[in-house]
Amino acid sequence: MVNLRYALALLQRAVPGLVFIDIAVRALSIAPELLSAGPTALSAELFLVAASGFLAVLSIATGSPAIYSVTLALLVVSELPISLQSAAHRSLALRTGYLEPVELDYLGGIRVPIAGIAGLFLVLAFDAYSTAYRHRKREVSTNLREVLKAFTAFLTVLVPFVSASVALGIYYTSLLELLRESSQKVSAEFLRVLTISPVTHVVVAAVLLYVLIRLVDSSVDTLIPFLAPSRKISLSFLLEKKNLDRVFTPPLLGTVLGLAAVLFYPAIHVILFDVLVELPTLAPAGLELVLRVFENVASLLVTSLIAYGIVDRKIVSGPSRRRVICAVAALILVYASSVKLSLLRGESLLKSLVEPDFAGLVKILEKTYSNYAYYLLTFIESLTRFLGVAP
Amino acid sequence: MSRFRIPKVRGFLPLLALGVAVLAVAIVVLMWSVAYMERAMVATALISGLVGFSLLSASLYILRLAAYAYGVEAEGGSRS
Repeated sequence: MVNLRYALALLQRAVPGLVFIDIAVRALSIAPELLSAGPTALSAELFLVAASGFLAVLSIATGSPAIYSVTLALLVVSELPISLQSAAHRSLALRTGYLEPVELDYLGGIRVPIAGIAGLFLVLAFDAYSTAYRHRKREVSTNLREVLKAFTAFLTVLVPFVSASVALGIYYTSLLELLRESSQKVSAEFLRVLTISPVTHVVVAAVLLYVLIRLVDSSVDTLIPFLAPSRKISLSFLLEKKNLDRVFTPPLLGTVLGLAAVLFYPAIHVILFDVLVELPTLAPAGLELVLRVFENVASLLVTSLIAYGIVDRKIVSGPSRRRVICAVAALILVYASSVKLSLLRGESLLKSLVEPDFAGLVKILEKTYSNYAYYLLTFIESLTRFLGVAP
Repeated sequence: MSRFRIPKVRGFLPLLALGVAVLAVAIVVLMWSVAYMERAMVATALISGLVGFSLLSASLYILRLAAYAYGVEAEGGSRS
């Protein structure tokens, strides 16, 4: 009789060999360029393919699923450098004003290592099987019917997961690709700056990735009680009051609140310190600069305090008196500043009270926002370039 | 004795149905976000993406509640 344990270990080490099919295909695809342009042209890709080959040998030697999945990841990433280079080139061309025709290069361009991924599932299954066998926690059945039943269960779990992750992946790439392309169609200057900037792409990509990982995590948490229902665990979950009385918090609330504070800032600053209170400049000649700096710092402090006060977590999470006061105060500020603008235009007091100059206020705000966004983006972009995050 | 009695709905099926319904709405909103992005309406696309992800996580939570209710029923049976 064949020793089942040795057979399992052998299978677990033989299956990672499947990835060599993908590595061979990949190597053949870069071979012509390599022969014509020399190894320096493709150094990143060459390095990645070689590294994945090395890791494939390692995973055959150890049969470890972790090393095998890193191998697959490296193989997929080795397809990326060319498209990333062209993306950086394109964004540079857009910024210098020279537009070139765009082709979708990494939506359909990446060859997915299908044989390797199929092998990954087998390796994972063998790994779980041999672990259970080694620890003798469960009896390993060699009955054909049982094995078939287990295999169908495996497939019923596998297929929805694979299709869901493929759908999420398509969603992710298409959203980012379309975001990258939209910079050519957008006409507003403010949005153009936003959509061209690689910082926006990096931030959107990171946020989406984070949200997707959270979603997959919580969907696994949801699936487990369905697959293995347990009365004790369910009751302990359902009897906990905080699990049921759940205040809805949108995902990424902290980040959104920080961004909201940044968004409120210029409006508050303009309304308070440019329109309503014009800071006096009647300082003695020598002290003018010092006073100007002091004024700026003071206005900055006050404005950021107000902005962070507005987007406090407590205010967002539920109805409160503070929230009402904030809303009314914001309306009063907008109204008062528009009245003042209309007075400055030379209207009478009564007319300016009845017909405040909202359009003028909006114009000022719009100008401030686009300046502010431009400076902010330039600052962040130069910072991230300096740190080497964005291309 | 009030005449208008709301029929007592029991079990995990209503929760399951609600969760699936919210999930469907979330998927539709997520597809809208791609469509908006295609028309270069960036802010609208990102906002509807946020709405879609919020709905998706809400539906997952409802489904998790349904799963625990199912767990109580599946093992508990009639005794409670």
